[in-house]
Parts: sequence; C-alpha cells; structure tokens
Amino acid sequence: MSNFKIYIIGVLIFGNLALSLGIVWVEHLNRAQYRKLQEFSNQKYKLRNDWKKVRIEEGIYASHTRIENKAQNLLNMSLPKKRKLITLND
Amino acid sequence: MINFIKKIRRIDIITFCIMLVISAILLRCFNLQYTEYDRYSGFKEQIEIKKYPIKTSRGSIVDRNNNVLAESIQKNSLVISDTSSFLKDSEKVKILCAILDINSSVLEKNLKDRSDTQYTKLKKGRYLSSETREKILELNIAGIYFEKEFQRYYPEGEVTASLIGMTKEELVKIEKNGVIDSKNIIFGQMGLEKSFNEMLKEEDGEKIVMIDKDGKIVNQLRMVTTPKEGKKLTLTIDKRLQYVAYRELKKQAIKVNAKSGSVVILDSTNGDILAIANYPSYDPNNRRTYTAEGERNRAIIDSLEPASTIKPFLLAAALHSKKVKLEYKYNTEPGRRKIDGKEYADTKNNGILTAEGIVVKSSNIGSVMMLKKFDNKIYYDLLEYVGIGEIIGINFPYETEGKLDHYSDWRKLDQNSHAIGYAFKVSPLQLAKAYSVIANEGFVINPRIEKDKITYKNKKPKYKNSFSKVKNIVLKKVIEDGTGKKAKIDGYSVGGKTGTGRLHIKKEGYDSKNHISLFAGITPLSLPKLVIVVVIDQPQTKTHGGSDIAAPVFNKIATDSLRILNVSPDNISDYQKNVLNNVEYKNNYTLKTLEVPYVL
Repeated sequence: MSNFKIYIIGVLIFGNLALSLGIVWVEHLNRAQYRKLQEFSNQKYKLRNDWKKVRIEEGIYASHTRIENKAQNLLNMSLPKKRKLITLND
Repeated sequence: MINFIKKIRRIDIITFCIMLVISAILLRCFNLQYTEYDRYSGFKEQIEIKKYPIKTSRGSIVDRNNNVLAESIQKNSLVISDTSSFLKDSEKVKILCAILDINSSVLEKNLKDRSDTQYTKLKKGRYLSSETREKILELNIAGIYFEKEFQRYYPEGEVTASLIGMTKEELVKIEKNGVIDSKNIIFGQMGLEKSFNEMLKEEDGEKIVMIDKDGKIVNQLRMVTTPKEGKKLTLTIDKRLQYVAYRELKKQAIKVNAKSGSVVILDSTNGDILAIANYPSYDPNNRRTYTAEGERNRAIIDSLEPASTIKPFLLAAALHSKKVKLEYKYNTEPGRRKIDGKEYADTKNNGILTAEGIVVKSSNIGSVMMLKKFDNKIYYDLLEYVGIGEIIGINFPYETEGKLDHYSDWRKLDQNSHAIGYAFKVSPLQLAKAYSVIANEGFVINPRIEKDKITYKNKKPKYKNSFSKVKNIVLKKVIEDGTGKKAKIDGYSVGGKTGTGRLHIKKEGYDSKNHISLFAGITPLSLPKLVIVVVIDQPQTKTHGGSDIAAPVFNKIATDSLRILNVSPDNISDYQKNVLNNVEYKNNYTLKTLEVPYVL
C-alpha cells in the first residue's frame, strides 16, 4: 500500500470521526438554541398578552362611564347649564 | 532499544494513534451499551415525542381611534389529569379549594365518583390569573396541569353590547385522517362577532415536539398545522360618541319609561357609522345580565314606519315633479278631514299652509293633499333612490331591508298612507342614510361599519335642487318655527324633522295608546357633518310626540358629539354675541386664551 493511500485512509477516518462529533455537537447546539427560542417566544407571547391586558385596563379606566361617575360622585362635578356655556368661533 | 525506536516509522505512529482512538470509541460504546445501559435507557424514557398544540387568540375589535372594544386575553385553566393522584394529598387539595373558593368536601366527593377520568376542568378553575397559577404551582400537587385559554373582554360593556355581540364556546367534533377528535371552538354568537367571524377567528396550530423530563420542549420535529391568529377588525365607530349616544338614550328611555330605543349617528361626509346605540342592553362581560331584548340591535334589524320623518322626502319629490312649489298653498282646515273615505287629522287646526308649512307644521292632511298633485312614481323613485326598501349591506346579522311596495301596487288608501310615512318600513339606520342624502344634496353615500371598506358614492347627484331647498329652507325652519324646537343647538345650525308613529300590532291594527317617537336631524347645516336619528319606542308619558321625547335626546347627543369632534360652530346666537361683548368677559379673557368651560 502506498503512503499516499494510507494518508487518504487516515484523513477519511479522522474526517469520519470529526463529522460524527460535529453532528453530535450541532444537534446539541440546535437543541440549546431551540430551547432559547422557546424561551424568547414565550416571553414575546407573555409581553403581548401583558400589552393586551394594559390596553384593556386603559380602556376600562378611561371609559367615559367610569370617569363620569367618578367626576359626579367624588368631585361633585356636573355638566354646565346651557346658559353658562360660551361657544366661540375661530 | 534505540535501534527499535529508530526502526519505528512515522506511519506506524499514525496507525497506532488511530487504533488508540478507535479503541477509545469502542470502549465508550461498550460502556454506554452495557455498563451504563440502565441509566441511559432511563433518560430515553423521560424524553417524550408528542403532538403539542399552539394556541392563538381571536382577533381584536377596535374603534376608529384604535380603542379596544373587544380583546382576548390569555388565561390559565386548571386541568385535573390524574384524579387518583390528585386526591391523595387531601391537605393540599383543601388549600387549593380555599384559593379557588370551592367547597373541598363537595369537590372530593364529585371527583371520587369519576376517578378514572383524565381530563376534568373546574368551573372556578378557569381563566385564572398568573398570580393564582403561581400560588397553585407552589403547592406542588400531583395530577394537575394548566392549559392556556383565552377569555374575551369587552371594556365598553353595555354601551357597545348590541353592536359588538358576544362569542360562544362549543365542543365540536372534527374528523381528521379517519380519527374523530373533539375540540373547543370559539365563534361569534351575535353582532359583529358573528358577521365578521371568518376574519376574527383564530386557527390553533399543532407541532410534533420532543419534551424532556421537566416538561420543556427540547426540539421541534415537525410542524403539523401552522397557527393563524385572528385578524384585527377596525370599526368606524367612535367610542366617545357611542357612549354619549347610549347615555342619553338610556337616560331618556328610563325617564319616559319607554320599552326600547335606538340612536344612529352617521358621518354624512363619508358614510361612517359613528355610533349605534340601543336600549335595553346587557353587559357582555357578565353573561348573567344577558337578555334576548338586550341583544337586539334595533337600529339595524328592526324596521318601523317612519311617520312624519318622511315628509321632507315627499316635499322633495313634489318639488322635483315641478307641480308643487314651496309657496303653493293648501287648506288644511279644520284640522280633521275625510279623504278617500278615511279620516286624517293634524295635531291642531293649522289653517292654510304652504307646501313648506306642511312639513314645518307636520300636517298629515296637507301631505295627503300634496301627493295627490303629482305622480306616485316620482315619490316612489325618490324613496328608492335614498335607499328605502333596500338592504344597506353593512355586514350585520339579520339586517333588515325594510319594506317598500312598488307604486303600481299602491291603492288609494296606500297612497295616502305613504304620504304620511305609513304602509312602508325603514330601519333607523336606513332613515339615517336617507337623511344623509338630504345632507349631501342628492349624493348617495352608503353607510359603512368597517373602516377600511370602500363605500359606494354616486358620481352625479339626483334631485339636487329639491334636496337643497328641503335642507336649507324647510328642515331649518322645522327647528326654528316648527315641531323640532327642542332640537335646537346653541352655536350650530340644525335641520331636522320630528315624527310620531302609531304602533302597528299584527292582526289588531294601529294602537292608539302606544306610539313611537322619532327625530332625524342634520347638523351643522352649512357644512353637514352629522346625521342623527333617535327612536324611542312606546314612551309611557302624556306627551309622546317626537318633538317632546326624541328631539331633546338629539339635542344632547348632537351638542356633545360636535364638541367631541371639534366641529366649528356656524351659528353664533345673539345671546352668545352679547356674552362676548360683555365687559366682564372682555376684561378677563382675550379670544385666544378663552376656552369653552367644559366640565363633566
């Protein structure tokens, strides 16, 4: 067997080994990254849900019904009589 | 030894190294396969490959300013997957019951009867907040897990209930690849939730994943179905105007003890429906308040006889026929007269009225006399042109098309009835559309509820001169001198018409005791922006006319709506001019710094 052939066999064997280890390593990396992706997408989902909650809360707190009730009951405010209203043209 | 070392060739060293590595690998393989077999086969069992649902939410509904009207929020629902393990630790179950406010003995008794079930949901265990979920997780109870579920919220509650509607959850059996699977599906039960269901509905996905012993997804192997989130629906509704309309309608309906009522606010410039309020209503967030009456969107699905609110259209048709002019006179004396064998009456003896006066004073006798002067076809064509008897098509379930018989089918009495707004039917929304044609002096703009929808507008207006006269002269006079005085708004010009219809009961005919009060108005007249229709059904008061019951509601809604929309006043009254010239005001404020003093 010529030296050249032996070298080739050696390289192939090493290549094979490196590839096997590489596949295992990449698979591990893939799983680790996927886990991270899951975490981020969960976080994204949670933030989106929180955003929705905040918007609903805003809607409830800023609803005219609530503000009017608070203004009337807590601050004794009322709609001004027509004669007290002044409307101006620009 | 030295000789031996000298004899070793480089190739031998390489071969030795390779053999060493191969031996190491084989040794490790042996080690894994035999020595540590039990340990690693245990790991294998802990890794699970299974189908994993990907839940998505139903699309939200927002108003024209992007304020939320309906939104789905993700919540956690408790599922008991292994009843026998769950019941083992009764102390923990008791604590759980205390958190969920459930009677523990009743729960234990119920669960013992069905100990073999693998999926039990508790009513009070649904839609839990993340805080409650954390509390339960801390207990570390066996045999339970949490499922993601979406709860629909309606921040505006009863204000938008009859328009937005509600959703319903139903267990549906789905056949897939010969396997029957049951699934909870959320769909619109009523209102816009129902009609826009295809757009709003979500489609849950499914993927095949690898899950480790901690229940965490390690790897995604395959996506079975891609999830699709529901699309957002943007309405033309203005939340602020919707509230004002509902508030005033409810206030008046309670005050006059009315059976029901509706209000429609239309933007006459582009056909946008700014508000549709109905009374009675219910809170969609609390299903216990639900009633069939509250669900009914009367403004869209109910039709009624428009009574006197149709008289401006009769006059427009009369003017278009060129057989009637505004100044033509009609003798309506003595305020009660038999025509074609049937008696017609006015509220009082109006004497001799002009064609304009017939609408201003809302004379039934005058209207019947006026229609006799010209061809029914002209009147019918005009009614058809403004959209009466034709479905608007705003995509709302059970929208009514009203009723308008062909003029060739009108008998003599029918003809007279058509003149005073009977024998045909319109929905409050159709009436608003018809008035928007007057506001636009002949242009027909189809109302729309979906903001992105392109609406129909005709290029060439018909009846332009007639509608222009009716709008600028007649409707204005109705407010200034006629039946609509209570609809007058300070600072703005208003045109409108009152109506009082008798309630028609099937087989019994017209009820003389129960009435429907109506008002349809346009403001500001110089550059029309709002068309508002108010309908109050069966007010239980002595006065039941549209002028006393519906017109004041129009006044309040229009005043607030114009302020909210920042519409410039076009009619500063003498009173206000006097106030501006008042020394006290002049000294304290300049025009630039003076603001309209508005407080709630």
